[in-house]
Amino acid sequence: MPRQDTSLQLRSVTKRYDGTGNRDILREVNLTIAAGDYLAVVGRSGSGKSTLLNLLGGLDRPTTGSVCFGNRDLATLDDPELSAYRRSQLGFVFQRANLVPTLSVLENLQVPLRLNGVPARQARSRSRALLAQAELGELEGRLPEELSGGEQQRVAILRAVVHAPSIVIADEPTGNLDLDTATRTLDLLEHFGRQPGRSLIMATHSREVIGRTQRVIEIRAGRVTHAQ
Amino acid sequence: MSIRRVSGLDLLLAGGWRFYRQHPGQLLLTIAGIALGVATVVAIDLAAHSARQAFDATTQLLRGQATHYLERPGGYINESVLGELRRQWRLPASVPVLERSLRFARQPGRSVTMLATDPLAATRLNTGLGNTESTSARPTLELMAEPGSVLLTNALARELDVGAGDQLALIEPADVMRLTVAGLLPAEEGARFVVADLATAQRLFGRPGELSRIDLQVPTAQEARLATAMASRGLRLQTVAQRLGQFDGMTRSFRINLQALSLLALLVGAFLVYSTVSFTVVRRRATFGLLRALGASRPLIYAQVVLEALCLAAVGCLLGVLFGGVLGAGLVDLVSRTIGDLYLRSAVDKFGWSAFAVFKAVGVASAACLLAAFLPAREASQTTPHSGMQRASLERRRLKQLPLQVGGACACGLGGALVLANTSALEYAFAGIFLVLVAAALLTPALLIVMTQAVAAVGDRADGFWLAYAARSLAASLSRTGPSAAALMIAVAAFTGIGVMIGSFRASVDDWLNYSVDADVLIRVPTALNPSESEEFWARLTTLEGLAGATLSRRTALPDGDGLAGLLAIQSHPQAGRWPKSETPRDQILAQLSSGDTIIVSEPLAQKRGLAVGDQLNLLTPGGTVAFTVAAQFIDYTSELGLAAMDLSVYRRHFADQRIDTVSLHAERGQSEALLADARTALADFAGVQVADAGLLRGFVLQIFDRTFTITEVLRTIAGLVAVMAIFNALQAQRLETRRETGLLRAGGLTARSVTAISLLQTGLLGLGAGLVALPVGLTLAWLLIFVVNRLAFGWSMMFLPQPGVLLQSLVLATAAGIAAGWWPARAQVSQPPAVDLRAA
Repeated sequence: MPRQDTSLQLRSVTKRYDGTGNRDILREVNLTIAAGDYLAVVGRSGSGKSTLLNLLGGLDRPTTGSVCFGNRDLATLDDPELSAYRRSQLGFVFQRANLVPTLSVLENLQVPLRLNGVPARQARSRSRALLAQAELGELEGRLPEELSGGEQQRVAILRAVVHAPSIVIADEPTGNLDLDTATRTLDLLEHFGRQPGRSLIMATHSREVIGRTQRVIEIRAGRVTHAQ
Repeated sequence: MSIRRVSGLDLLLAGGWRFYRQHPGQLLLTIAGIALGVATVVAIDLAAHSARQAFDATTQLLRGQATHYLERPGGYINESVLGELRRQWRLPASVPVLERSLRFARQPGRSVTMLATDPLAATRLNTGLGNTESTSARPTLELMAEPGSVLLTNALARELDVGAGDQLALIEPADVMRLTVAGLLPAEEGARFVVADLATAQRLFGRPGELSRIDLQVPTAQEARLATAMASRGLRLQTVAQRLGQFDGMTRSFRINLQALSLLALLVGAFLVYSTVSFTVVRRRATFGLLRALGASRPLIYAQVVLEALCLAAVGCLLGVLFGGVLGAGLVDLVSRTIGDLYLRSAVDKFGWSAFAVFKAVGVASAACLLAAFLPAREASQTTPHSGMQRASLERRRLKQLPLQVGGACACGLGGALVLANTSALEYAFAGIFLVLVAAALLTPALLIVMTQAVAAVGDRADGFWLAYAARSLAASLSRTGPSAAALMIAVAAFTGIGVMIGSFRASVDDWLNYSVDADVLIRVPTALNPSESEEFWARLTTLEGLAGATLSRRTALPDGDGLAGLLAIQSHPQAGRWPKSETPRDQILAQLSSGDTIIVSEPLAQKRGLAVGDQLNLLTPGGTVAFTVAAQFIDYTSELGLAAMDLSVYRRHFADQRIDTVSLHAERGQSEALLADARTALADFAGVQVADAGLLRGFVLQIFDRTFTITEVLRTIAGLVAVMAIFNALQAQRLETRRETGLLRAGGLTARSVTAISLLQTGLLGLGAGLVALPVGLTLAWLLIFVVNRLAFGWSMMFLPQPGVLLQSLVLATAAGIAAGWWPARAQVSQPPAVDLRAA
């Protein structure tokens, strides 16, 4: 069985929101992210980093141009296909943890697995094993509001990888954390996010993060101005 | 949709359940809203059902194995018919019945039905009269042997605290005799009536030789012949089934109106449910967005919201049915009394369950819940993962939806107006009203935005920074509080509309009473005055002091074939009288009536028969069919079945009936009390003649009116309750909406007291705004109830009198509910440190 192409390609992508006048948030962006890449997206606040991640994650659609996963243009996918793309191929970590507030830590971890059709018992045991692996087992019965910001973010990272996605997208995952907690969180993200064939894409302002990644792209005035 | 087949739905539902556990107030409010709506429908249905059962039970108890009734529409049967039936028609199982109501001195506020019969004849039809408990071995025979003996049902005896052998004094009819309890009748639980021997009742009510009806067992072969023979004498033979059907027909409008009001309550409840369900969805919008980002499909989110709504509906319906049962048990007495007052006497007010009523209410409520959940579910499922997590997108979307909402409102309003303008069916009229109310609800958020912006502008001009701030902040949160504000508006509109409708109707009845009961003293004349008595009676009347004039009248059934409508033959005093109330001048009507074969018809009769001025109505007279010309329409609220009136001399000429039922005496100015006293003294020795104060009668009619509308007032109160619940919901939403903002203000140095004041200002503004929108909507509702629904249901026209008191009450209700309901959230808001609010999303 041929291995699935999990690379991401942006071709001449422009994005403009209603109410932003004629200003393009992203303008004619071309970018390829190969399977297994570890990529940092940098730029000033409001430069379009989050917009780029939203487009890559199928959370939003470009105004013009195309975003392709493998050889499939995400713009051609209907809602069920996009939902399937997100639940099977992607893992998200947002700046604010965005855990489901009414579900416990263990249940939050089960969400991607259950959405992918993993039976409840199996989803529970896999989630529990992952929590134990990350030494967060004692948190499993707690609700998000009972956790600290760092704990919430670490649980969110585990939730992003529990279903073994091919791409993990993190939007300033350490932006709200102190240096020590940020380092521990980043370690966890790298530990679980960087697996063979799995891409890790991170929007960040952190020099420490930039120093750890393989590639860095900078967005300035809506354009990718610098890639290394 | 199977939960097992949709991956993760159970997990999402568990999250939803936990959301409600974390917000018990929200859960309580939602369930209470559904329960209240269901309870109202169930209660009214069950009360109406019980009243119907009560009628059946009374009928069953006395008719036994009777198959038919013989009666004279609107009058009494001469007892001689009984002998004819038994001898010539060979129908020995013919039971005479005289049915009247009386009131005991021990229980002056409540009337009781007296059913009088021939106990021996009754046993032939195997009625319930044989099963009695008494000190005597044969209490039914005691009824015959001892004048004034009666049997009481167990329930009534308990109410009056009497037993066999006790004596009872009467206040209605006048205390002609005391009644002795001969025994108790173990009738159905809740049955309350008195059984007497025919002779006792005829004496008591001054109806010697007269019967209300005769119960019969008629072989099929004889039925047609007997019916024809009796019809020629103005008597009507009906099967038991026909009579029950007639009851259905007579009470149809009353029941439809009750249904309409209960559906209105359900509509108000449905708006409350919609607002609470949509609020719970909007509140979890970020969560739904997150779930969508994690790959949850639209159908999955849809399924979650709909299933949640169904669960809430199930619990709400269960509680609603239970509460409705309790409420219905309380209402059954009201409905029974109303039906008794307006249509037929029934002697049982036992409450009973009806599976159909429960299923219907649950069905309608579930449908309302599903509809209420449909739009929020659609919105939740259409939440794009990206926009779901951005609050600003919601505001943008709501703003974009506003023109659509206003367009929808216009379409609904126009549709409703078209339906209302072109319908002659009550059911379509209700649909039209529903559309108009939906239109108003859709317009509410837009109107509130305009109002709050106007208040903000006033605040800016008057340099009232905090007023402007409070108004702007409120306007910004209307995207979330809109549905709750609409629910509040609908509830207050229902409160206003029902209030104005009742007030207008009452004022109309009061006004009409001044025309129809235009005398000072009323004298009921027994039909059996012999010629010498009659001569003496009239002679004494003419000697009364302070008498300005008299109006004579005779009321019978309209001899037009079905006999349901009434016929009033009247000789109204030209100067002292005011009857009738009509758009046509009185002098003109009286002149036309006395000039020939002319009648005037009440509005219901004109509507039911399609009669206009100049049309002819054929009436059966002893001399054959005579065509009477309709000279005018007049207002009459005595019967929805209709009334025709003609001059007494014309009636006497055609119908050879010289009797008079009522003599109305008009007193000279300031002489009414003296005239009443004089009449009582002068006529005291005429058996059966009743002299009454016309003023008291007018008061009694208004009492019946108030009793009839007590149930409507109950519904109005429920609407008020829903209004309070709706605003509580809106305020919760508003508080959550401005939590972070409040935290910022407090961090900036605003005191807790100021925060509370601003919060109460906002909630008061919201309540007042919704109340202001509700006033025109409520007035429109009242106008539609008066000019469309009542006209279609009863054919009555009424004045439209918006009472300032009712309008003020509505505004006060809305504003006070806003401030009162805002107090607790405002206090809760400042009871926590600002940091907690700042951390809130």
